[in-house]
Amino acid sequence: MIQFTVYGTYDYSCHIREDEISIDVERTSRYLTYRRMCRGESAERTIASEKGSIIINPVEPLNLPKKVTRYLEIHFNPIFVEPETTRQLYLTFPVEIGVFIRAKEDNDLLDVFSPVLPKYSLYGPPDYGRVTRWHESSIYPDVPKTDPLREGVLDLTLVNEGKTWIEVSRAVFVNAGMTIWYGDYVLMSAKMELYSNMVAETKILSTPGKNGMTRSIPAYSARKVSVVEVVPEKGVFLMEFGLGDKIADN
Amino acid sequence: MVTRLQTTNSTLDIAAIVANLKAYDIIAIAVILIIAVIIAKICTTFLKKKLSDRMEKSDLNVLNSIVWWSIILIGIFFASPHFKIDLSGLLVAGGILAVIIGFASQSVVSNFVSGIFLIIERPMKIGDNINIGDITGNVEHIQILSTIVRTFEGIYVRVPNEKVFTSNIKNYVSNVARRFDYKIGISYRDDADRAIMIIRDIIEHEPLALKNPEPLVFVDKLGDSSVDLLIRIWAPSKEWYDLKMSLLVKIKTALEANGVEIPYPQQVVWVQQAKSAERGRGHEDNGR
Repeated sequence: MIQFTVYGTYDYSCHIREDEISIDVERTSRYLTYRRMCRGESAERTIASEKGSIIINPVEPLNLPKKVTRYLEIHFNPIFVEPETTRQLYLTFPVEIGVFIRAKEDNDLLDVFSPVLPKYSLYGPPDYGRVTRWHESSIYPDVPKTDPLREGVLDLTLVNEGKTWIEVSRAVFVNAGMTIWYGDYVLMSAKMELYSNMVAETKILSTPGKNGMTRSIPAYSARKVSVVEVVPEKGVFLMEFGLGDKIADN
Repeated sequence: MVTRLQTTNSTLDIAAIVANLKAYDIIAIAVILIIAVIIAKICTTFLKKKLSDRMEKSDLNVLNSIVWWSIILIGIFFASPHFKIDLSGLLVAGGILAVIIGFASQSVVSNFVSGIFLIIERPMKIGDNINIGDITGNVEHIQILSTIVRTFEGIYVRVPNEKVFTSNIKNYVSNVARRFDYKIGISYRDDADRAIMIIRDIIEHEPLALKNPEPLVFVDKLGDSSVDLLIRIWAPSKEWYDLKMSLLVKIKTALEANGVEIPYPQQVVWVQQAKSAERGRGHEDNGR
């Protein structure tokens, strides 16, 4: 059976072909063999399991080519936000594709890949800053059309808490449980409270997606990362090195 | 009435001391010792909270014991007048002993104090890639008297904390990002702008070559044999060396694939032309 949609739950004999992605799970004598091809790169895993399922869903884009940071930075054209107002806009964010294996109520991450070439950056100075996964986005007034295998839609609420106009052209989020939903498109919601041109607070929200959307299994929880590593900032990130292209030297 | 401590025959008439204690003295001693215990408890708890993630447990236990007993001994010292003991004999003997121990344990104390300051100042963490003097490697342990470094050749090196504290420490991964440079010479015949464009494209497609701070590629020098390009790239501190090793090959391959020559050191000598000119002049002279 050949599926033409990638995200979803599959049994142990699945063959998926989509664009430049191919995934095959086959039983070979006593074991299962998982094979994946994407952008000319391949991965193979051997699975010892009798009954279970394969779950493929979008995961937070912080795993490739290796895990070097917990921060996602989205850069966009500058937007001026009126004092003491709340505005909603849509951005895009990169997604990675997580393949999970599930049996006896337990998930584990089997593979992560992406047809998108990742790029990293630095937010802040080299001594106190944060290495970030970098993404360039346009600003959209409505949900933009995206390729769910490459990009998701970020529903961002900007709240200007100050009494002056604030110019924003970047948002940095920490991964302390990025709640990603998928259906016709991939969705994540976030809030950014602006305090000045230099300081803002960001948070990924766990707001449920639209009807019919499914909640993704995040890669970090499947890897059973220690709670101590993920929770300290409670998902809130204080952007203290500027909200625009000009970065403070601290 | 004072009960004299018998230092000469090393006996202590405890019964006599206790017999001479008044209720006021007992209360005073108890209060002082309880205060000392409370202070010791507060100090050791504070140390446990502050240092448990910076020190090994065994070192922390040693430090806590030293702090605990030091405070208790200070408490006993303050309580000693109430014991009605003449400590003059002990003080002389203790003073001499302290001088001897002081000389003998000078370096130990120095290393110990340096270790405390290193733990407080925290110029490096376990796993950091550092250089102390002529030793370069990864920090394995930061102990109370010494720091253990594993060199890149896998050799175990114990560095006394005094040396660590008084040396210049280079911590290669303390900052989240760091820069590395390449110098690449291209032939004078090649288009430098095109070579720069090719190199920029390679860097752009390298995930861990950071977008910000922006990588720089520019003509640095017009050398004897080549136009020297300087390439400056920022990378996450923990990844820079792997990136440095892999990226140079990619740049070389891309330049060569695009016909950009990386020349050997060379010098053009116009020998043939000079000889021809001389020969030409000789012919002219003969003709005359």
